[in-house]
Amino acid sequence: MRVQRRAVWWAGLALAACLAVIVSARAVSQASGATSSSDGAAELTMLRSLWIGSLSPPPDDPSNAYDTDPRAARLGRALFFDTRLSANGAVACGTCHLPDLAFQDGRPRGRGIADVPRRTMPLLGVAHQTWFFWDGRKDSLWAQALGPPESPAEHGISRTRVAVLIREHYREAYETIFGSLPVLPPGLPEYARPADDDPEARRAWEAVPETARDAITRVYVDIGKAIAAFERTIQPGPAPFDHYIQARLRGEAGAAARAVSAAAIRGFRLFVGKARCTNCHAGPLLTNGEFHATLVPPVDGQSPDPGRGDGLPKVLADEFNCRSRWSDAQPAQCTALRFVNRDAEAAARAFKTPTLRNVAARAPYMHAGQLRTLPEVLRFYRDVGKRVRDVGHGGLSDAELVDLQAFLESLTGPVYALDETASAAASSKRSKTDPRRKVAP
Amino acid sequence: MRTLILFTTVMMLAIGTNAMAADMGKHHSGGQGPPGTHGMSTTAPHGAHGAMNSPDPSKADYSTTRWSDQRRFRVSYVPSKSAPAINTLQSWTITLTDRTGRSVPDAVIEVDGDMPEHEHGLPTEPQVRSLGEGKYLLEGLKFHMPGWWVVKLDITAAGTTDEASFNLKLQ
Repeated sequence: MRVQRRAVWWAGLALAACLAVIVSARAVSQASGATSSSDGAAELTMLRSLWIGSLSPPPDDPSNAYDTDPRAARLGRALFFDTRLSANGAVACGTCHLPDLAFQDGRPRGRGIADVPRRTMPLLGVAHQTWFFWDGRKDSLWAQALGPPESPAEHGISRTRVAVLIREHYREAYETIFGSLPVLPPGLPEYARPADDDPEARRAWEAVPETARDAITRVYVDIGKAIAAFERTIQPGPAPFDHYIQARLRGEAGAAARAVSAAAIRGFRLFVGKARCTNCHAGPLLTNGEFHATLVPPVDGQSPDPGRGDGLPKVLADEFNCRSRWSDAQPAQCTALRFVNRDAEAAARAFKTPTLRNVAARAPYMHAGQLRTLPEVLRFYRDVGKRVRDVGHGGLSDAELVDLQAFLESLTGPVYALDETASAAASSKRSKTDPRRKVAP
Repeated sequence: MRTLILFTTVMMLAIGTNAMAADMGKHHSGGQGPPGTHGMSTTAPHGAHGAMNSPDPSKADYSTTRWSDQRRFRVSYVPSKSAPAINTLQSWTITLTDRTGRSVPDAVIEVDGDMPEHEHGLPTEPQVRSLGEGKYLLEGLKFHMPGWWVVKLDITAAGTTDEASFNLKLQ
């Protein structure tokens, strides 16, 4: 009896072992992919294009002479988190761009001094972009950084007040990088700024002598360039799907199968195939950085947001654009502006494609947080794709949406940014390997 | 076996990165002279419109040398990058000759581009300037999506206008 029971036990164990071998063989087969060698080569090419290992260092910004200066990045980091640069002493860039949340805030729409009409943008890999804000109304990261401080709903402060604060608190750091602080005359009205939204602030600004206005704006521009140098260090780290790609590129089928779920691999094949998500979400940052009208409905009760339709004329006329007197670029280097698409029809209600790095950790979604969850976003694109060819995603089943979600969830990795404790010695080398630390999983 | 396939594919990648993306190189004007050679000595390709309107991009002609629609100009281009990459600015050096193979140095060339399978054109507005001797520099081309693209050149010279369309496949 005992022998019999043992025999049954051994038979069961053998069966389980067989099943395990079959299951793992299937997993390996799914992981290593395609049915023919040419399909396999095409898939490896696609995998490599999305791999974080294919991400080159951010391009140098010719309009910012300080964008790779580690001293500027350290000053920029301090300014990024300094709440003194706000009307109520409680708002900094880091209020909406929280390091622990991959430099966004998890809210439908940002909130500084007051509510902001759009979703806080993710900053992962932001220095790789050409256009900034959802509507691309800025053409450099430093010009972007100078928008929120003077926006009444965000920091609610003026460039005049910023210049005075820099003189009070950052003079030494400023002068080390940019040279002597321009002379600011005494008695400046600290709310003075060239505002379109505040006639009193504009009158005060126009009453300031031109040389003083230039001195104030010079300081303001320089701190924008320092903040951009810090933001340049905000980079995504390898996600589980990058481990999968690396294993596939090395031909390590077992490691590939362990890196992500079979659902995520199926989701990847849909993402680059039938669902055509790579039409907009391509490359290692999974974005083309361009503008598309997805017809996502406006926030309840609000009129449609014109998006790029507003951003296009703004960037062409922007006082801080690449061709402005405040830019460090030669006009010929301003290629984004030189070749900008001026088609107003294409720009109407279009918004910039965001990165999908860490997207699953970044609900809610779209330019005003209209969609709460990834399944809602996937259903939206399936449905809108039936109406708009540009964002067509094929006829996707519910099960396929689940697979796409699994793929998107495999894109969450660590976030790197310049560390506040980075030593001066280590970071004075002006190398591409800025000292960084992991700030969030 | 699978290991062998993987090894082979990895080696293929190592040898020719972006081999899949190099359609422009692969489909190089079969049987025709290289860009800039005497146009009349070669067989005229199928009209540009025929290729452009093909519903099947796999059957499109990806030549980099071709006749304009009315066969008024022979047009060829050499891209600044051997395999056009997604979302980076690139330029073409265009060579223009007439029916008799003489260079056309004073043309005005306008550029348009679109994705026939989508509903949009280029994300940029490229510009063309003459380099002299029938050569032109087209700058500011950018392709922000993978897939089939058509770049149309509207060419005006010596009081006549004609159009040449080139197919590209971006991966």
